Amino acid sequence: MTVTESTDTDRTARPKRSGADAATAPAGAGLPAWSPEKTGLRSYHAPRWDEPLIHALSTPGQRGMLVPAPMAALPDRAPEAAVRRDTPVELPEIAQPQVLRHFLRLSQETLGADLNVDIGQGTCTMKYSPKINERFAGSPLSVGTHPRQAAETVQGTLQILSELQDCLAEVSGMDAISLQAGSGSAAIFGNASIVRAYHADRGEGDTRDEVITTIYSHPSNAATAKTLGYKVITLYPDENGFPDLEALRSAVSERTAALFITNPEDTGIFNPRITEYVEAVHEVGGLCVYDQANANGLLGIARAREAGFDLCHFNLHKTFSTPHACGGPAAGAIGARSHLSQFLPGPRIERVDGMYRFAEADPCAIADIRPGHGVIPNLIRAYVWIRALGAQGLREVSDIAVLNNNYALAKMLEIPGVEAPYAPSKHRVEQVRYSWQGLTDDTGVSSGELGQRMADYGFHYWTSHHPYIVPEPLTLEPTESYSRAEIDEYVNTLADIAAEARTDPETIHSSPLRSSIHTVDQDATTDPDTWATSWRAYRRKYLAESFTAPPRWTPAEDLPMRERAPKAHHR
Amino acid sequence: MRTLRLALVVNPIAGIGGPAGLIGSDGEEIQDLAIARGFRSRAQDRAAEFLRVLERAAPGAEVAIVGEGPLGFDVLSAGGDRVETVPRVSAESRTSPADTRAVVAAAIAANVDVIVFVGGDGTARDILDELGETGTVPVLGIPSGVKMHSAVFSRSPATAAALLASWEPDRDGCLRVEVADIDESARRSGIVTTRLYGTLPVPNRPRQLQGGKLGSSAPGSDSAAGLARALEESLDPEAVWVLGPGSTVRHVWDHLAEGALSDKESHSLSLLAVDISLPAGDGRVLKPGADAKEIEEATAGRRVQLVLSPVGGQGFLIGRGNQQLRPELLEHLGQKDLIVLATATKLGQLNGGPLYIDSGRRSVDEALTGYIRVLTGPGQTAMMRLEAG
Repeated sequence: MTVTESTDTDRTARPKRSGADAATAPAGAGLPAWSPEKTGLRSYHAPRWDEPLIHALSTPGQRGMLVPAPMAALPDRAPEAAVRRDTPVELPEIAQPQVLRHFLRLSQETLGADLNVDIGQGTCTMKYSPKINERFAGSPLSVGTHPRQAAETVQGTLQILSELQDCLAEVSGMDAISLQAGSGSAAIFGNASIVRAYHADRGEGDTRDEVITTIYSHPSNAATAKTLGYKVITLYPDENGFPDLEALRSAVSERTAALFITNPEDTGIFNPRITEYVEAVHEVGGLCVYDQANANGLLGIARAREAGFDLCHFNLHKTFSTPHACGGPAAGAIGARSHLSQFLPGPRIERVDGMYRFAEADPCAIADIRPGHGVIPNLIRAYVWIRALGAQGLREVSDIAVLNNNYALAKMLEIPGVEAPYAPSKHRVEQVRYSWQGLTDDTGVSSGELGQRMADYGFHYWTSHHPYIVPEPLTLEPTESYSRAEIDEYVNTLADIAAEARTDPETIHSSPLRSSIHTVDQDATTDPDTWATSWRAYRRKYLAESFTAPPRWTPAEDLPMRERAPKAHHR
Repeated sequence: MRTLRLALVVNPIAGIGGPAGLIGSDGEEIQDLAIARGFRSRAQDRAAEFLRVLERAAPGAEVAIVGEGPLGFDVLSAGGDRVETVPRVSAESRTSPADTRAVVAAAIAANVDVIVFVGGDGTARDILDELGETGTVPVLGIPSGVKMHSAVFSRSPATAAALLASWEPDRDGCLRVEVADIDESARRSGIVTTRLYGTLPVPNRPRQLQGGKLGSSAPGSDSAAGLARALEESLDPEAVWVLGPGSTVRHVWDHLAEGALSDKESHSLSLLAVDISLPAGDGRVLKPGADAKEIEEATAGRRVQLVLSPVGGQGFLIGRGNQQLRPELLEHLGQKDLIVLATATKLGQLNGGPLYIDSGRRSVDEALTGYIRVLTGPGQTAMMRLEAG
């Protein structure tokens, strides 16, 4: 094998070499031949299966397993009897190998976090979820237990929950932790509920009807506050990209219930004046809630407590490595200072005389966010992840995540047409929101279309929450989980596509060309009339079958109807 | 820093249709109509304000070329001996595009550092016609038209002066930006079409330029309904409502009219004019397309609520497309009388603001500036800074 030096010009030249031809390495290096820096782009094509819905695969008489017959002697008044169906469920009849092939084919058509270099889903902290943690989460000692089981029979699980509470209290500096929420947004909803309960408890529930948040904080902050009936005031960024502090000072009043804010926000710029925001809200009697869904750049570096926050929350599926799991179940941990701990939802673990037990919920605790305790398998995964790393390891996670991000930033800014708005030539924390406005102006190719083209190389790519504040946005978050070679590969591919936008924009407009699907109709994806989330809905909407409508709850005539938020297109 | 040599040309009829509620100023008939209603162009005042601030901010700058009489010379306060005056071309009582072009031709010949013009999109097009697509002399507009879509304008006369005071041509260079204009006669029939005519070089100071107007994006029906709910909660039934131009206010009003106002009022708002809704008996009456004097008469001595939405991409709340809202009206109002509507998307396109006011009277602008709550939906607002343009 000969050594070929490839230059940047080579890398962006078209047509591309095939991956095999270009697989070269320094002679005698003794390393695997493939190096993304040298070889340009991957030769990739996603599997594409014309796989039908599983109901269409049903063959009468087939079955995957023999289900035990029901107990003959089931008493009439058994709970099961009340919910027993009179007619059989229309489940597909299909054998195990066909089930396996069906779902394997479908999974091949997706780009999961275990498959692609998933740094393109900024804000979501797509880090590696160590596989060994599945063994603990899946242990019969955990999955074989019942939520209502007596505490003395699940001491190990309770110990894990208790110590996880302690770890998260240490990481956040908060005095008490609730592990009940099953997702990040549920945890934010819990925090908003605590805010409401706190002010109601002080007799100010009616007067404090405003919640302040920022446009670069996660939309769930505004959404959960609105769900609870708060008026929401949104702060926009000042010229430095920080929420306008003077706007906050103008907004706060005796009507302020709380500030919900992220730091760093989606821009990845740490707000060094965060305590001034907190003080401005505290001065009028409001609470400060720190959205730490993504705390991946701050472990062991900065804590909610020192910044003066009253409440915070973590998404354990972001910073603490549990899988995102296609929309859940996830886990959200709420942290509260001592003056709010009595409002925390759900059972918390305490240790008395060497035994762990569920603490009695305080009478003023907010309503349960979900039944029982939290999502135990995810809490175990997060616990194991923390214990495997230790305090120094957590700090190292953030150090590497920040280093990776700034490495990617430096490489990205070499691409003509992209910039990182705000804080020029400053380092960012764990993520950056870039803008392709320059490239779009030059070529007419949008950021969303670059994302479509990235799919042709097996990469996922995300723009930003809506509304777009940074024009033609892209949000990258490399976390600590990706090697330098992988970050290079991602950014080099993006650089090549940006060059392609200048020479062959039509190809990008019509991409993806090598993915499992081509472009989707955006309007259709945001129109509920086109959605079929069940076989029955599919038959009704697409096969024009009619069903007797099941009884539905109908609102009272005088019930005020809520306005729906406008539809937003992701990408 | 070397002396900045500039050419100045004023279009003395620019924007005359604005306070008259005529949507634009193109065409002699429109201009005659505005004059007959007793309105005059603000271009001379704007030029004078520019020179006043420039003298303070950039004492070294000098006007080297100026148009004759109302084309610029009249507003020069002093000096004039070193100025080359370009004679008027038009013989009639009214100035013409040829006058603007003559000044530009002289400016090119004299190799000035920048051509400053006071006018609107039409004036910018006249300059483009003379300078050509390949012209390299930088141009800076002082906004004096009705609603400017071109990106060659500073935000106000004072901003133009400040921009030139800090701009060093050799160091900072230029940007090429778009010259665009709408078809005004089509616009008066409710059809808004913007056409791109070409590009001109402007001083490379994007933060002090007002930027091109983004195409109208009427709020989707969901957000218009939400904004209508928010507006309804803010409106005082006893007040005179002065309803600004633009697709946001119009669509939100349509939703309001469908619901809460259904029995009282069925008129649609004009897309590009200022309309007034007055309490009358049990209901309200709508007076569409009011000019400045009519608005001032209808609101005298009464509670007034101004319903406005910023110009997309530019952020102007007052002073673009709504010159009917004169300082004479605004001086009686405070921030509490402003109801500002915008979708979150529109605010996003403004990168979080600020919003601007350029009423023509600085004291009025300053009285209304500060942080305001912009309604973005039911129960939701955005805190935005309102600044003098």
